[in-house]
Amino acid sequence: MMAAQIGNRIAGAVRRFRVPWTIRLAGVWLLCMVIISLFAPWIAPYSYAEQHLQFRFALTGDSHGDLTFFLGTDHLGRDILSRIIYAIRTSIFIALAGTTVGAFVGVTLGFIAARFRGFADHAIMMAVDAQASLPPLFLALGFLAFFGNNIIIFILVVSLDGWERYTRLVRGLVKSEQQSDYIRAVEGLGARPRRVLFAHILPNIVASLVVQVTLNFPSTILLETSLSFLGLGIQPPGTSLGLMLGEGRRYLLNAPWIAVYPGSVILLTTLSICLLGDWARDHFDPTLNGSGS
Amino acid sequence: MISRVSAFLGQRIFRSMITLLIAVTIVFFLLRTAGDPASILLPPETPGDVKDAYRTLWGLDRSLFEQYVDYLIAIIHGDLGISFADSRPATTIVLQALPKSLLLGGTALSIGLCLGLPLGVFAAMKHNTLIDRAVMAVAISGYAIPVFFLGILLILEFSLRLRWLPSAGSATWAHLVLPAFTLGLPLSGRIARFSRTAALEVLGRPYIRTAKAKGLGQFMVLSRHAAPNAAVPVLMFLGIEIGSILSGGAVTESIFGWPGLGRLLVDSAYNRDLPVVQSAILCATLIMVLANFFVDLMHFGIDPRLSISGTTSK
Repeated sequence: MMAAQIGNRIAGAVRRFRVPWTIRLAGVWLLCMVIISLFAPWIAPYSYAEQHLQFRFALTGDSHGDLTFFLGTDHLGRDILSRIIYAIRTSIFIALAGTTVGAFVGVTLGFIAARFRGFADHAIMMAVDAQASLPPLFLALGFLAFFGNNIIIFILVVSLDGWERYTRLVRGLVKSEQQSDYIRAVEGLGARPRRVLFAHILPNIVASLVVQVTLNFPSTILLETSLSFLGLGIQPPGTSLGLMLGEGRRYLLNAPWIAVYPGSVILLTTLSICLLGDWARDHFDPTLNGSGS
Repeated sequence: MISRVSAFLGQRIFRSMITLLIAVTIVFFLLRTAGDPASILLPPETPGDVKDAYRTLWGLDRSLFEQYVDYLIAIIHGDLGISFADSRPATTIVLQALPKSLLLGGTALSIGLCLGLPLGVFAAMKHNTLIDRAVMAVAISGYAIPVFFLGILLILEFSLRLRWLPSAGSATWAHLVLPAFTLGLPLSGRIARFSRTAALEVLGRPYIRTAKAKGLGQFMVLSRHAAPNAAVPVLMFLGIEIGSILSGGAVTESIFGWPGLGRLLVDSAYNRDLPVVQSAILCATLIMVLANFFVDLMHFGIDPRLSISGTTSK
């Protein structure tokens, strides 16, 4: 129901405001990314690991007999386009999973801090301060060094980026909602705290939350791709946009396309989400409106 | 006045210490939950009786709380273990890498400020014009472009095609140029965007209208009335940005073979050289805490509301 409400609001906004062409373009690009990651095996011309060793470093658009490499091949003769398609899937999945975990943890802690105050509040805000004073990439590298690497740890590591921002936001929003008349009225009518929180406060702060998720998403993608680029994220034979860039770096002089195509995909994706997030904040978020930070 | 300053300082120092303590605690428990420290911190080929000797030496046979206290004492003495890779104390290795990182980060910060601040203020003065939009379009890519992609593009153009600048190493000043711009350009975009917002907010205030109405020139209005007020949020923003300079620095240093703290951490994480990893993380935390402490100090120095009316609004 909540999703439908937000959907309606967005549809209404698209009709009412004239949506700038940059935002439309960004939306189309992101839609393409979602479709590509959902249907990667059907869209990709070849498998991401399939090697055509006789056609290594093929140029963009090279075709040999019935093999065509639209974006060329890499040092093992793997089709770049197919690898990018699968890499988009991996990167989007990791970023989404990390964001979900981070947002869930952050929002829950924010609720707890606002609901129970006192010691729980202090303890949680101390953790928030500590997280905010640790550079995310450094903490992520530490985690991966301490615990080794597998997909679950990697998702948890990616989720470390930003949970404290959700906690801070939710705690502040809930506290200010608790002061408002309608909440006092509901409490006066005898509603239990849990009902107040989930049935009355949550629907009122969900717009701000969605905007915060959108604003946070680019840095989550960048954390994933950075770690993979450094060779500490997704491991071969798997593929990720950052990993492709990291591999392509070694062949920059002779085959720059290996690195440039996946890099451009990352850039366009993060740029689109940034634009969309900014626009969404300006139009949907009642609390952050005008603060611009 | 003096007592107010010292109370403020005391509070900030206390908070910084708490933050450091939490960071140390997190690292301690991460290390303990990662497995047996003797087998993690000692090279894998260490014989069993030597490991046992180290377990006694490090007090691993005692309670967790006693170990924690010992760990804190060891950290105060700067003892964070011996690197597996080159068997020197981890703190020595980290301290050796630190100046290079400070040089790179400082240069990048200067580039970010020199480009970002004027652009942001200029865009705010030309609000809602084509110039404003153009500046913001460039600035928003500062949030979106991956540092490693920018680095690779710069190497491709300036090292491989034009052959103007070296792409790896740190021997001469020329080696600093590409990494500093890789780190500094996106930063300047973020600074431009934020300072534009701050300037717009201040320029709309009544006291600016008053200053204009009493006949001050544009330069005086900007420098005496707008700048000190707009500087506060920008300063706060810089405090937060120290974290992304450190994170971005780690990636930049790895690309350009710059022998700083970040590259050290990446290499040590890759080799699972845990004493160095924990020292590097603690060192980065210390830098962030110190940076934020100085931001608070400067905030106290420049914020007109704090220095005149005497109420701490935070």
